Amino acid sequence: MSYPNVSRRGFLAGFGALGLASALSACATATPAKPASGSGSTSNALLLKSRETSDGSRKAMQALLDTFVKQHPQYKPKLNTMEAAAFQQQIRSDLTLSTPPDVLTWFAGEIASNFAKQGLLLDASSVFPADGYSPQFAQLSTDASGKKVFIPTNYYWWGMFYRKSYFDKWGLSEPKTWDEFIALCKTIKGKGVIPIALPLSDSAWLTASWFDYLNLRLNGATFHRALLAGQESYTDPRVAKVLDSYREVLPYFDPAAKGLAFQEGTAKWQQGKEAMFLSGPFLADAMPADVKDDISFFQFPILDPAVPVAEEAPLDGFIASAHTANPEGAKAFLGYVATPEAQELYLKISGNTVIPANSNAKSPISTPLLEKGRAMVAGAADVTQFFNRDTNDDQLNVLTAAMVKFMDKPDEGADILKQWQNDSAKARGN
Amino acid sequence: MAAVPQAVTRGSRVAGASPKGILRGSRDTVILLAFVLVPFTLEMFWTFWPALNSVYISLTRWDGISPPQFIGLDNYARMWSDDTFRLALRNTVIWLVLFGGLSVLGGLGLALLLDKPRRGIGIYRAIFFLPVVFSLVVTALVWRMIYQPDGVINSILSAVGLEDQAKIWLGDPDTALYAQILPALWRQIGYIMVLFLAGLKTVDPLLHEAAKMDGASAFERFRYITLPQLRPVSTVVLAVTVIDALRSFDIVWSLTQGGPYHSSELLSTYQFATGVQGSQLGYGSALAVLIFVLTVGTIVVYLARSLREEETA
Repeated sequence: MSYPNVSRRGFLAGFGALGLASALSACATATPAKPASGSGSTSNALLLKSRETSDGSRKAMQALLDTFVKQHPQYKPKLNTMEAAAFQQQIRSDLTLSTPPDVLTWFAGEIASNFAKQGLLLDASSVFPADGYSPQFAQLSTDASGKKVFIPTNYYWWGMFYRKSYFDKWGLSEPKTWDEFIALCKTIKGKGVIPIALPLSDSAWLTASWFDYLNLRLNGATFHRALLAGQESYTDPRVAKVLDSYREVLPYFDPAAKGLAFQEGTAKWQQGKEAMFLSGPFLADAMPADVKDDISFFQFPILDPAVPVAEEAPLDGFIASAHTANPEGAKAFLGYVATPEAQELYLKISGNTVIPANSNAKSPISTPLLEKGRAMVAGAADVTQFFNRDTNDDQLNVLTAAMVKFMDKPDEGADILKQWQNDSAKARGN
Repeated sequence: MAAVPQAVTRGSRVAGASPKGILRGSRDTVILLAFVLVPFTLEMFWTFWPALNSVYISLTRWDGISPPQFIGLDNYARMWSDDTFRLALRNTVIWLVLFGGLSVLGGLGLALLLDKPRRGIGIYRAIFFLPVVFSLVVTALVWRMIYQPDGVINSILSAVGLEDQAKIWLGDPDTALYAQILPALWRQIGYIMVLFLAGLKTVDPLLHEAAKMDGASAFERFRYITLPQLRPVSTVVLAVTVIDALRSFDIVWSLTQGGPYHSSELLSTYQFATGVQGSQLGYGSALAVLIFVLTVGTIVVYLARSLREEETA
């Protein structure tokens, strides 16, 4: 039997060299240079990639596509749903593919701005409605060069959630200012009830809501944004003030907070063992209907009346890839989801407790809770998205470590802030 | 066997034998090549290729969107000034020593106890092996309940009058790491036990008998007969333990995600948080490369040593 002259070892070595050579040419990291205006070829296919995995949301997404195709029969839309965490990891590569999904669900904030800066998002200015979006929402949809790159469809809000029946039983009313709030916490604690829920064992990110609100109330949205963007330092005395206020409220958190998972925390809150929960309306998603009717919230208390009131209103919507083979179809779809009809249809079918972003749209399932949330956001002088939407998850990890450590070591504020600034700068690559 | 006909065919070119032989030979060659090439290509594509790429990525600063920027060894230099990294490295060493050491000792002890045939021995073996079949995420769920602020451990402690020892086990930076080594051990010991049990089956009982006759004590028989004969299996156990210790991730990620404030951070969880969850792909890859080097390094050092011992022996 004759074997080829190439020895096995030589063969392997050859293959290895081949692999090494191509590795050094760095194929995995290569982002093909493509004109931002999309490839020359056009297509009728329209792929919508969605991270809304709940049953209702999936049906609602499909209904959007079905209605869209009735109005624009020339396009062939298709829905591709992916679990949110995986979606989030893949979007970076999705947007740089040469044949990307045409339209994707996304949220307003720093990451979308970054995508826009890299020229990855389709210019949707021509389909962005002139009327219907508040100036804040329009601003959040605009990139640095003034192009509209994001179509908001719905949002929610953050507030101090409580159960009306328990507040009645305990004879409590909603506080407006920080002092009233602290007094309220004292009263609740006096009744043997834990004033504030903060389950941290699997959701330490919740501490970001406290940081965001305290910083917004004390220092305002402009400073908050500059801080998150790395233009201000966490060692700034204004951030130290945030920790001072945070220290005041520490005794009123559940002492078992660090050992509780989110579900255990919400269960305790639902049973009235904890009185208040700084959260979004998603808190009540899994609760029975009679509990849902019993839920209300109040605005995060005012610390400094001189600071214009800003609220967190995380805004969800759609973006389109700049590399899409069907830019006309993608724009047509973005134009459609901006309409009040589309947003009402989506909320009606999904049943999600969120508010349509187009102010001409009505909530199909309107509740007093939803209207209270809408009124609060509409009355705000400014709107932010939430810490990790306004920055990214690296910065959130740094914040989480600092905020939880401060709960244990409230006297080491200065050191914690120094570490925070240090880690934040490193994660940013400075 | 193959060399002889080959030499004959080449040298003498005997007519008649060659056409069919060459034909079959070349077909064999093709098949053999296919057996080597197909898995190798797949392996290249799925394993080596991404691995080599991550070495390259570890030399860049890359957020996954903008083009990567080549920065040489900066990511590796950054590790030494990164407090979280140092903490994660320290925790990983603690994990390797405690988790690795205790699981080997525990597994060997159990294997020795459960080696001799006795009534119901199978049940005992099954009980200790049972945790291995659970997914680590399920294990984590169970232990989360045990560690809850009003969970089993704290209830027992207050029942026996030790309320002041009750803790938020997973939320206290002093206990979070150790509280997670326990469930990891709970699972690993059963696995190591099975490996050692298999090893003990190869120990020749005649040797034991002979030693007994010569008056060797039970400890001496363990030290000079059982242990040396377990050497091949020990190599496997060591490799498995080091790999399992350094890739430990699931249990920590499901229980504390490395918290509170990094006190239970391992290299693997830190790598995941920066490179996969976060957007520091360069730094995350550098951490991954380091974990790889640590794993391979530990095993190679051990293998080299035991090979040398075998040669001298």
